[in-house]
Amino acid sequence: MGAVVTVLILSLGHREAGSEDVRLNSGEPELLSIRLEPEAVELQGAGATRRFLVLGAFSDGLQREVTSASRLWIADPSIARLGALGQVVSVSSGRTELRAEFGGRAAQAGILTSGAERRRPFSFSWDIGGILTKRGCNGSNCHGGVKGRGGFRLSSDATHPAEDYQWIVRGGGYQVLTAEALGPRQSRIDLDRPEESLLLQKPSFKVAHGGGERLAVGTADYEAVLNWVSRGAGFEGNGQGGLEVERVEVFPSEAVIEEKGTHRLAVTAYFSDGRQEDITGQVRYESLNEEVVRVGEEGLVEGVGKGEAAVMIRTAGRAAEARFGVIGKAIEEYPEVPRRNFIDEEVFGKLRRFHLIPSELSEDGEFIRRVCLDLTGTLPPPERVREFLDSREEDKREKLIDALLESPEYVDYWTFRFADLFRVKGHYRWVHVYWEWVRKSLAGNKSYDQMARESIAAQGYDGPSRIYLIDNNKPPALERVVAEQFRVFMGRRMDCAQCHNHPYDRWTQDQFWGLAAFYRRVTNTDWAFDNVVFDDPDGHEVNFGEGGSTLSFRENRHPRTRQLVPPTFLDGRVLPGRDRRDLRRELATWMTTHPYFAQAMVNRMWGHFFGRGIVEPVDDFRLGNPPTHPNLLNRLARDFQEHGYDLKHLMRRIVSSRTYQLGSRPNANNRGDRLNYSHAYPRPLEAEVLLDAISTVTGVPELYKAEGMLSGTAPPGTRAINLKFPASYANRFLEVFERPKRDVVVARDGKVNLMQALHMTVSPTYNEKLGKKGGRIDRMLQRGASNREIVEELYLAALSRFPSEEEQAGLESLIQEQPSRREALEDLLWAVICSREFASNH
Amino acid sequence: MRLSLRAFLVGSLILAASGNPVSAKEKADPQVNSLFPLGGQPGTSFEVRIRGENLGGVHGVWFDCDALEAEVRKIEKTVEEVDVVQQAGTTAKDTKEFHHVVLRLHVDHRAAVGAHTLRLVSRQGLSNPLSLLVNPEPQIHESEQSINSPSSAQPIEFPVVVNGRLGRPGELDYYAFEVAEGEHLRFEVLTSTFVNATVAGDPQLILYEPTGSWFDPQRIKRLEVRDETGPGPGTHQWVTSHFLPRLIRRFDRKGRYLAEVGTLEGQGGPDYSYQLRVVPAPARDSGASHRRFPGEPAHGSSALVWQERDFSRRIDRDHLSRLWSRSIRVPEAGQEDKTAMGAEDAARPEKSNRSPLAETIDPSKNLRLPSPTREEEPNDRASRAAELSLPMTVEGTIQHPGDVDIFRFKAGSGQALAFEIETPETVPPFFNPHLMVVDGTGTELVSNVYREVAGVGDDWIKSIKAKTVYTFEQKGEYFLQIRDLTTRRAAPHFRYRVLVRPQVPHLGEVAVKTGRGEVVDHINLRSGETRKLSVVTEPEEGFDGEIALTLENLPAGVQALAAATTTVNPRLLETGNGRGAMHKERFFPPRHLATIVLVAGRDAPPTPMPQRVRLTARPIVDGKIGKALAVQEILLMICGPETEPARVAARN
Repeated sequence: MGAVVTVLILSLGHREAGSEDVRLNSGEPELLSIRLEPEAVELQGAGATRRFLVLGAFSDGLQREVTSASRLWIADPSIARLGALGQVVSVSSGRTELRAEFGGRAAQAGILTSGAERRRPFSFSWDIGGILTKRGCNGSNCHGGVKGRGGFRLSSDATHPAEDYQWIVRGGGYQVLTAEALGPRQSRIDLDRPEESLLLQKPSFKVAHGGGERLAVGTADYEAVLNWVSRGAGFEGNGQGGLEVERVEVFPSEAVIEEKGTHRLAVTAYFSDGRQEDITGQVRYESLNEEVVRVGEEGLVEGVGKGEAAVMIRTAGRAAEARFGVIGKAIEEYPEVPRRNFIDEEVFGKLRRFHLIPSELSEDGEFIRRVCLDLTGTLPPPERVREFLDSREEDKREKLIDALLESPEYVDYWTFRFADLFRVKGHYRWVHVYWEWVRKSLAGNKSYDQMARESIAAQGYDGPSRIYLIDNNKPPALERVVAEQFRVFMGRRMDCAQCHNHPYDRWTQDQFWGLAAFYRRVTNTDWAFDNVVFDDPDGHEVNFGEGGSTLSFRENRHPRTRQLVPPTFLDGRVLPGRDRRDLRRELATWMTTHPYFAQAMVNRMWGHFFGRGIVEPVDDFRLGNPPTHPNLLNRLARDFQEHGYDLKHLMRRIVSSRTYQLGSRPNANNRGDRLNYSHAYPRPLEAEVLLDAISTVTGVPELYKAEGMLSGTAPPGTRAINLKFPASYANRFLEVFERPKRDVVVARDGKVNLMQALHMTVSPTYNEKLGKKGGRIDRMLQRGASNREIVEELYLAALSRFPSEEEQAGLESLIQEQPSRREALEDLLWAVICSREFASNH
Repeated sequence: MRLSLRAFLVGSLILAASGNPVSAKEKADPQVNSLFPLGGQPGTSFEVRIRGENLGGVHGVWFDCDALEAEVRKIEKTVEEVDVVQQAGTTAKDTKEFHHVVLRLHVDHRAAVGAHTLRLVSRQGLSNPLSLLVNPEPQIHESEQSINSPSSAQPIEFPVVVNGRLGRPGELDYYAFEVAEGEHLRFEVLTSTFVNATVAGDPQLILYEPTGSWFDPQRIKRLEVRDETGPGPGTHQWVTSHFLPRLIRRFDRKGRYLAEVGTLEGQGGPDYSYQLRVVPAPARDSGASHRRFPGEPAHGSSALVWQERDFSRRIDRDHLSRLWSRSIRVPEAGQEDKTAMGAEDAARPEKSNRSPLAETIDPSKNLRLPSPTREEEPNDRASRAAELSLPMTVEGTIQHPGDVDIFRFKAGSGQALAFEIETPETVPPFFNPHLMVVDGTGTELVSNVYREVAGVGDDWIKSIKAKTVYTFEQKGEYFLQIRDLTTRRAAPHFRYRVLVRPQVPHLGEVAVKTGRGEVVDHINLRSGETRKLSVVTEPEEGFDGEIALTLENLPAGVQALAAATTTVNPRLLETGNGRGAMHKERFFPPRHLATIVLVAGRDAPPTPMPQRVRLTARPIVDGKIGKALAVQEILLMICGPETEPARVAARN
């Protein structure tokens, strides 16, 4: 390759903007006002507590937490008192105020106390579970791990206090595969000599303990455990005798701090009787990115470096999270950003709070290419690009979106995407009916919940039923189908819970096998082409092992307890016997009306259009992986649900937003942002889309020849996204660019590998198409096009934009210098299709 | 079933090779791969081109119907490059010799609609069969011009049958048609050679509207249709084992539309002939058309082989007569018809049916079954089940999801019953009737679901069967339940007919089979040659007599000798597949094997035409011999160089 190539590789990298001026704050900000958070509380019961924070509003637009620098006092100390850590404690029933002063500003908050004579009953679940959680005893890397530690297992973060109670009080070693205790039962508490309890001796390090000292003698937590043992080590029946923790809240749930700035957290537990309790000092904090924020034991968050991170707050059976944005300098004059729909309200609202300024709206060329690839997997043809760029219509983007959503290319592309999601593979006849069902569903814009119901509850010979046969022509193992369908339709990964309670999430083995029971009956007839999927009340026959021939049916037994598990929803509701005629239909109805269902799909779609989900990975919702924009997620899900799970509506909603239509060129303020959609993030094209794009730009279609007994050839001009039986058509390019085999739930990470780079240099796809007779270059030369016309055409076809004057002039000059005009133009085309700008959607 | 078969042998002077010495290669049986066109309309004559191997000596054509005639016009030889799959799984190029036989074929106006059997006749013998499709609609051919793109689509008018061919891999053929507003059409692609020894593939049919798209003004947009594509009726029927693409659409807008014909995986080549059939569809189509298949055999199976376990077989009032005709009926004194009695009376030991007073069946004697009883809803609970006496034929429909039809009957202790199911309109896998008999406590006694172990040896597989048998241990009241195997599928055309009857010990299938278990339909025997025939017999429902076999209508110089053999192919005796078969005896009869050796004397004269040899079987029970039953017909040719390629009209 000649000089043309070198120059192009330099110029066709992803184009970034130069720095854009943003007015940053230059001096010390002025305090404008302060307020107390919360502004009022109602404390019920003796010792009810609530933590207050003092927040200052400053002239640079930032709100800073200034509690420790403020003066706080209670107006009437006979009603409430101020604790050492700034928390208000109920003393007697009545009404008073908390007052605060800082920087010459004052604020007050109302306090109403009642039932001061009623003490909250002690609770093993809450009080002991909370201590074990805060001290990390039941963390997933200690006794809360899958196998526990040293034979002692606790449920992760005290999610199952009844089990914990048994292991503590009755003793015994935990075994993963059976509910039987390992070794003799020996209690870990000593009612006669409470101090001698192993439960105290180990964490206080009186006895050697691999986890070190966790509970120093004399601390309040040590004393609490000791008191519990001394009083007989009881376990409440249900919460605290009917008193349950309804929720745990953290304030702030979202905040912005400066580098090296701090912010206190206030964590409150809400009980079922209305009681509130400050638990800020009784929870475990964890920063999910310590390069951005650190958090101390008492909930003081410190900004370390610019970025965004979540702080997880864990206590007995509950968790919450707070998101912090760490900024350099606050922005003095934040620009007004137009908003088109609620997506912009949520995204730009957060950008505003985080002092991030969104990039400008994308240029028309950038937009047309992006939206065509995202909605149809197809590059816009040059004539359409010209037309769009020339148009002065104000609503031309909306019209384009509508045209794309109604195009046959939309059906092609989303059939391909959903064939990935639903794993369309297997015997070619089954692929045919399965693929046709996907295509027809999308062509008719079938509601997504309907598609899901048809898939989950599929029976008979129709397309969706093939999902139950794609693995070796027989229904998949129960555990596999549960995990897969929960992941696809609910966005959660329950795989771990098939063997043990999920170590990082709330899913339990009981829940997993409760869901598995809905699939127990799935079975099929016949071995040949006409297999029929149905539900046999006896279940599916199971392998009988070597040499045996006894007929036995798949049972849904809990692997540890060996008990038969009835069909049970996630919330523990057992499907009544009268409703068990059609188990999977019941499950499908429940799944598609559960809030997770809509969340999972909107998040998956968001991930498609933005390159990362609001929860990322898109199908990994869990406690430790919170959404970056929880309100946006909820509003999208609600909107999707309210519009009948209409996929086109969802897509239109997203691509119509200004957020989606922002330019990919970052400004000086948002360059480091990877989470908040302040600008469009370039995304690699899927292997199939990239290959189709190369074929389109070169004007040379790919040929796909099937292998094996049914050797055929896909009709000339068939696009990679339209291959109904991709597995039949081996293609080196698609392998190198990691076309998924659909053996498992497809997750395309788009990571670049060395083979791809080599492929660009030597493969037929990148080289033989360039100068092929009848190809784009050949045709343009045949019709006598000038170099200028050819350069322009290639840019429009590949990049959906005109070359810049600099690019145009430089390239024309280089082409003229080459001994062979044809070879120079082929080099130019090669460079274009190898460029990052071409291979990504941006 | 009409089986007065007539064959025609039409000689031709074109056969240049006829007088030449027979080479070793020519000794191989003639093999036909495909024909083009696939068929024609009654009352027309047209040219047919047949492609195959070892056809150099073809001098005539055999049909299963005297309404068809053909004359050999020309034989051409080509050497073609072919892909050969090697042991390693890779393919390599090789060359192969093919013959193309050109016929002038006449379809008489009397010809029945459906698939007719056609074979070529040569000195090397009779070829394998091809299906020639006779349709009532006007026929046209695919244009000589390329019709491989939407813009070059061939205009057609309907009703029509277009004979086309997908001549190369990846080829798509396009046809354009104009419709009026509200027009309701059915489109089908019929093939008969997409699955044979040399090619494999499934046809595909798609309808388009040439609307263009934002990206491409030439783009065609796929139409949504009612798609009845699926396995042909009875997946393993002889005409086709591939998909039958069938689309039905009501066109809301008048205008020009396109039909695209291709294959699922892009196969194509000289053997990929097809017929595109476009006909008006009834405005109210119940969707029952899975059974109405234009490619079904016009005259039924040419081999006459008894079918007892096919959901599409007819169960009518003469069914019992037919069964008894394959046995020896032994009525006791004063009782003309024991099979039609009530359950109490019929419940007696089987042996009592076999008195020495054996006589052959007289079908006219009180053996007609009672008229079928039509189900009356609601009958989805035992308390609502109608009580019927045996033998009983019930007819019903699985009308709505979860529909269960229940009937009540009485059976005596030791009573052996047979349960037979027919699905007159829609067959599995679309409608999958599930029959179950339960006792008063709801405990299942018998069903038509059969389980065995197959696959790689550790998988249970299930299938539903059209017949099962059961012997009741206890006298009592029982309930017959019929539903669809799924809990949700139902339709007006999910019709069933179930016969519950006392078991009839009788001869089931009796057929000469290949080592792979396939029914032998023709034999090419050379002078001086012997051929071992393995006859598989299936005694049904406790038939424990002997079966006498004879081959009749043998050509001159040919003898059929009973033989003992030490080499028995165990595969021929297998019923079901593998380990763990559950109650196999309820679904499969035992199998026995007899061997007959055909001996052609050295002086056996070659037959100019295949001769229809008839295998007959006679049941023998307790020393009494029953009526001879024609159980199979095999076309036999004695081959030799002296076969005259003269114009011969051979009749049976």
